[in-house]
Amino acid sequence: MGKWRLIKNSVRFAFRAKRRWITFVIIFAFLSAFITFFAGVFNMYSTDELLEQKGFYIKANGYGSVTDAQAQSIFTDISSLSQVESVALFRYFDLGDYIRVFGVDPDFKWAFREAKPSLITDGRYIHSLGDAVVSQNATIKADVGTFPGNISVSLQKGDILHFENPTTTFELKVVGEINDRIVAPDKLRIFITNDDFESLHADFGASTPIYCYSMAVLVKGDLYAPFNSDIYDNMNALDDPSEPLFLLTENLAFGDWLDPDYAIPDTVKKDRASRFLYFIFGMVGGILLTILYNFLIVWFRRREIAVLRAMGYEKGEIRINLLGESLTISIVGYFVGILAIVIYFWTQQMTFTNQLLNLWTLLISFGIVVGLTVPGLLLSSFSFVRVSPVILFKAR
Amino acid sequence: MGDQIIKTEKVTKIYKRGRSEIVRALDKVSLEINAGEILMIIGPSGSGKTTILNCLSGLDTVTEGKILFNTSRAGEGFKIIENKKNKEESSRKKSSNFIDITTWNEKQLTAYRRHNIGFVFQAWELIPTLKAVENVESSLYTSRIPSSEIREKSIKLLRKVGLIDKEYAYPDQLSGGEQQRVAICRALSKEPRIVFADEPTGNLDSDSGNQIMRQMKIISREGAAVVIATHNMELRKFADRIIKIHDGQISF
Repeated sequence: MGKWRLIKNSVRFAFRAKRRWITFVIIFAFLSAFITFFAGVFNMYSTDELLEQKGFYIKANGYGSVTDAQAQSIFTDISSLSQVESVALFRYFDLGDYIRVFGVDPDFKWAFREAKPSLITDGRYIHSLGDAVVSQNATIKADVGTFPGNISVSLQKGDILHFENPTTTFELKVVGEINDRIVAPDKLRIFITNDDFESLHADFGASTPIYCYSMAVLVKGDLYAPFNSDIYDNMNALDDPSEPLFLLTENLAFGDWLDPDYAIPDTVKKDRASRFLYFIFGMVGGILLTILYNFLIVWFRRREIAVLRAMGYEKGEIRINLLGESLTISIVGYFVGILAIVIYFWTQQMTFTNQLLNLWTLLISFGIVVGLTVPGLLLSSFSFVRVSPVILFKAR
Repeated sequence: MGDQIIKTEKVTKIYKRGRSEIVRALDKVSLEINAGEILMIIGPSGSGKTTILNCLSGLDTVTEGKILFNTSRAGEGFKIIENKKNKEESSRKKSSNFIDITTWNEKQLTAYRRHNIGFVFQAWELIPTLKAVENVESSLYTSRIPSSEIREKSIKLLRKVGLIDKEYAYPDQLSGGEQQRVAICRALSKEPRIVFADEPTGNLDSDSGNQIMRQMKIISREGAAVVIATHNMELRKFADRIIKIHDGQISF
């Protein structure tokens, strides 16, 4: 009971030292926002910026220029290159005159540059069977009588797309709208999982061909190893018109492809190095800050600590008091920092990137902010022991 | 007077000042403290008053001599945490109910203070972020007593010293005398056997000082020993016994 009461009171009383508390909460809020931005940036290496970091993106030259069979062949050949980690194909077929259906593998959603999750404007991306994302402000058209496309209904999140023929029915739920970058006027663009894509095609579009829209090639290498140059070596090895990647895409037997767009290794390398450097500065600054804060806590509260020791508090019990205050500050500071980011985005009327405040970014940045307090907590744990109750017998 | 609670045998405290100067703060001090008395230690600044309080309360170590504590009526829940080294000695001493606290380690001394000692300081030393009642409660936060009981007891103590309607005031909203009364309540909340007070009226006007001393008198009448270190000769009238100290040596 005693220990629990100490923890509870240390948190409760931490809020009472207003001036000190507010000052450090604000400082921690800035630190937290800074760390969260960087955690978000690093998170984007494997998400929004995946292709910019380690990818080649190759688009078909136009509608129908690469058939499914050609795409599957080039997929096999490129996958066998030693520098390549994975290849993702993005295919489509037309369902009638007004609907174009795209298949996406949820595991490679970030490699679909024209329709990646950060382009979602409402709702969420496709996760599982039955999910569908439609292009922003989409309308579904139909021909009535002799007038083509003279009926249109707008589509939005929450709508159900019901497909029916004499033998089967198929339903998709619109889970989100996307500001996709695909140019296909007068077509409702629907993005669904590859499994749904196959089913829908088999049941409702078997007579129409499947084409490949684009292909993403990711090279081998760890995105989070700042001193590992595998990514850049592999990018350099493939970044040459005389290399198999380029030769394959120029071979018309595999369809008509545009030249690959690719990450520029030198630029990426410099960018990553500078980001890591800023991040390290932030971490060092954070550690210094928490050390300073904990030093100040012990300094400001040394007479309180002395009183507690004189009253017979054990060291562990005093430690609980100090840790309670310090952790309260860092946790509250963190949430204030996140709130500040939200408000900043809101006041600037900036679109919320799903990436900055996604669960992993938040968890990682929270872990880092709390982790940063550890050196300071250790310092205060050791330094308060040097506070002797004997000082209480000396006048202030 | 009641039972002896503490007695010292030729306690000497020597410390170094600077590189070479040796100060004999206490020189073979032998005294005893009895339950229910106000023992006043009077002497000029630097005479060793505070050093006595530090040593008797286990806040500081002695260079030579013994400080014997009577465990026969040690505070409720008081446990002597023995280590192997002094177990034998402790059990030998226990037969006479007096244990030499100078042989104790820090953990034992902490337990000794927690269960037996209350402090009242010249500058009150209330925790500024805690309300009056929370300051009183703070000495019991580590106990197993339910919070509601602690609160009840603390309010009762505050009312007893005349602090009615001030229970929820912060220290900076109280006068010096009121703060000192809160400090006294804090010292008494764990029902100590000895209260050590260092210049308890030093920062107070004479009216408030007299009021505090009357509280001290009540405490002693309820059975606790009160040891007051002061250089204020006017407080002599409140003492049951007076010890004068000069250059670390005492006279009665």
